[in-house]
Amino acid sequence: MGADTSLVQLLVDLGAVEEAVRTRLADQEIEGAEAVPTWLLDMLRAVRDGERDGWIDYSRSTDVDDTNVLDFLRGLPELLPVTYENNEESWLFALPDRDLEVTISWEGSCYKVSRLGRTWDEAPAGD
Amino acid sequence: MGAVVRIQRRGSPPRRRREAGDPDVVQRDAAVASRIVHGGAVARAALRPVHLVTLQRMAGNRAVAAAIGPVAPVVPVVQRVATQLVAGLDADVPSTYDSGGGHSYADHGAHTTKEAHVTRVNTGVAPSGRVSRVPPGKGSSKFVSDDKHKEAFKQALADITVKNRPKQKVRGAGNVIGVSGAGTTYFGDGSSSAADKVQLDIQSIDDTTIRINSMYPVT
Repeated sequence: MGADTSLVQLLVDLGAVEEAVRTRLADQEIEGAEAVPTWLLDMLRAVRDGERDGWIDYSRSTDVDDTNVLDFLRGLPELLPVTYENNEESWLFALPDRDLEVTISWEGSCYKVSRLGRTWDEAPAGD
Repeated sequence: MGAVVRIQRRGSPPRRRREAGDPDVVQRDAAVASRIVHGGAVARAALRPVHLVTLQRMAGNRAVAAAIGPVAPVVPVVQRVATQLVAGLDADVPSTYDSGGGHSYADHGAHTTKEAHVTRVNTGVAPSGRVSRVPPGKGSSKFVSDDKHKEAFKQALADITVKNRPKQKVRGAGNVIGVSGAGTTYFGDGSSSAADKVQLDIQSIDDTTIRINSMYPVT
């Protein structure tokens, strides 16, 4: 319990089974709130709420090894009706049930929630 | 060997050695044992021999055992993972870094040109011909030299090797590491900025072997 509660709740809200989420978190050795970056929670919240606000910048620290969190993220298709596409410099998650997709640019340190297939459209919001 | 000299503060009575049955020792050991035993699957998986010895010693103390309740037997799994590189990948030769299917060298190597990166920002076509679009206002990066590319991978490999030692399966790295002067990021208007960090995307392909999916400088 504890710090990961927000992540668990967000994923449950998105349709995941709580026990499965907790099992995966344990498998990935993700414990405590500090293990889950705030920007990731913000992104999942935006997906849950269908907020499409264009590209949102985030920052990551070289002091934190967030590998396990990213591996957890990579495994979301096992928890949610979502597809994952690794384009190396960016990852694309598509949620057809919600007509949404979210792209995370690792190179640009930003993410965008948009309608399916609209990530690269110029319209910054309400696309 | 010299004799051990014990210094006792003037006026203070000699401190009594605490015994295993003392209430405060029992309480402390019970708390530690409880954290080890009831810490969940993660803590259990991370148990080191020293924990097990501690646990066995504590379990031998009836007072501690009573305090923490029934304990399921913990079977230690001690297996050190020696991290292996995918066939063809040589840590000393950046041109081999794409072995196994990555694009770190082809798309971010020192041999790639400024023009190729500006083209990628404006068209989404990377130096290798792969499509990888760039968000508006963001850039495309390359390592300034093979030596910096190598420095980044060797640093990552050292971290991976250390963190995987106590594990049963090797894990890669997806974090960002600091590498001073690692690279240059180019933007759509031809401008550029220095990149002192490197994004890692190093993945395990089996229980012991890793490959570089990608690795590139970031600002």
